[in-house]
Amino acid sequence: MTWVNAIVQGLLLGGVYALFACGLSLVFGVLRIVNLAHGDLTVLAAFLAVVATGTLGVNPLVSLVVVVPVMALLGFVLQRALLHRSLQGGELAPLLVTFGLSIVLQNALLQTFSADTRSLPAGEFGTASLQLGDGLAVGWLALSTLVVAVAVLAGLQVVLARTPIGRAMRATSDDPETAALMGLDDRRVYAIATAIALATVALAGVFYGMRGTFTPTLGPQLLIFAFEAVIIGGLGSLWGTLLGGLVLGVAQAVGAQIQPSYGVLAGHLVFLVVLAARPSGLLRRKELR
Amino acid sequence: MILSVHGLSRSFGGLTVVDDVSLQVGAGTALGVVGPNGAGKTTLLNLLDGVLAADAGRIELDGRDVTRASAAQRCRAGVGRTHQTPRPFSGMTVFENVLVGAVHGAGLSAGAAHRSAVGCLERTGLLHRANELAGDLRLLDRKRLELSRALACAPRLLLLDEIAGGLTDAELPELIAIVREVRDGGTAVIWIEHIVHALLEVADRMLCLAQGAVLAEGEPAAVLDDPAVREVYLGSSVEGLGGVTAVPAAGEGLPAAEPGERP
Repeated sequence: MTWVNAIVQGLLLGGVYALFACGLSLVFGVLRIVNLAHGDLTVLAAFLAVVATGTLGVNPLVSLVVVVPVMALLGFVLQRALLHRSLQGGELAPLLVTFGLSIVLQNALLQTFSADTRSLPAGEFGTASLQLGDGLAVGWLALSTLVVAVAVLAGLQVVLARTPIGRAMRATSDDPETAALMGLDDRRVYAIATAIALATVALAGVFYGMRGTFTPTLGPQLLIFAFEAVIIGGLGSLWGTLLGGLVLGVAQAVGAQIQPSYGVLAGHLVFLVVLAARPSGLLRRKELR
Repeated sequence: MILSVHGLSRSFGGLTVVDDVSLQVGAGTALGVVGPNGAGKTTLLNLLDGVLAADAGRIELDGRDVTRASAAQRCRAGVGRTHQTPRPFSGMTVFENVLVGAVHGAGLSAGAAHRSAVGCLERTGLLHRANELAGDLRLLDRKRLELSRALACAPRLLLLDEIAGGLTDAELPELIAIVREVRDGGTAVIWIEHIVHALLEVADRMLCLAQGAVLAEGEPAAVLDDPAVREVYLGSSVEGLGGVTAVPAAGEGLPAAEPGERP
């Protein structure tokens, strides 16, 4: 039963990772930018929720009403003001720019919120669980995180596959110059894609904050988990990202079952094995390219 | 006039690729552009559709100055373009490719864009492949897709870059009929082509470029008869070239890039 429990908890943990990785996957798939500030933006979203819950006195879930639009707007502005210019500077420039952004964000958060460990108490919803059987219980919060992750990834998949803006993103990602000749303004398309990506980052940050604790310098660690989920699943494939998140979560939970300190290590090992055996990821990139 | 161009120039480094070109194309007329490889023909189209910015000169579309407009703005203002080497969005289906043009280029709403995309694919005879991945198409169908996509943008000015290159003689009449139909529908057409007899079927006027400058412009037959044109374009051995039926072998049907034009 302990193993079944480990796998179930791993799947639930994987929901968080899939949610983390979603925005990273989208930005890479559409803009071809590896966003090194992704983890720090997630932490920023969690701190925004701290502020929102503190000032408005609402539940973290309700704070999403504020945090998601603010992060989406930030994404739009970030793309317009910073990332788009860096895209013109060759392949290395966006890496350096997002790396710099990561450092700026970490230090700004440290300056503003100090190095204290924070969390987003979600009240009863955060602690209640569903008894599934003998020794097997799933937290409502963990379960809803997984559901939200699946819903967000499926929703994005539908947007990309079926809507005009989704086709615009795929076309621009494929060949920006030809897309421009079809009337598509790449600046606008990229900015919308980044806005959507940061909206998912906001969800990830708030759900992570409700599940555990965070500090201003947690970003790079989150980035690594998001990276691993994206690479395990296959670059640019959203279903792959979901699968990658779940595989990473299960690997960590099973590793921790063997020996509590092995959790993160087991995740890294599975990542390395996938990278060696199937460098293009478990699911090949089809959706975006 | 749908398109008026005055004194258009562009150079790369020290090399002037388009040199003080002026031209005009009216609604429902077609301008054929000929010239040796490296004459600046493709660069001229890239200046007209906004992929490249002009160093000097002025481009007017329907009397509006679009010299500084982006490629996307020009597309929405009515400029359609096909590439010599087709550039489909290879991860999307044929239908989706055309739909992008209908929605974002022509600015149609969902239902209208759908109908327009089907119509464009029907015109180019590609409807039966609508659900295939564009990346899986062969050259002829890629050319058709390139044209369908440009048509889906509902162009007032259609720029064709060697759309007949690589087609067999049997396939040419169909293509010529489509271009003629587009022209007769009131669209202005600029068509670069090495296959001169195809061009002559459609072109109302002809322009010969050499080293980026206009060498001759006027009635197609007169331009082709111009000794300077024959010298520069057909080479010195013009003997036996009985006017319109003669086709220069050099470059014909080869989708090869023109080195001087894509630095």
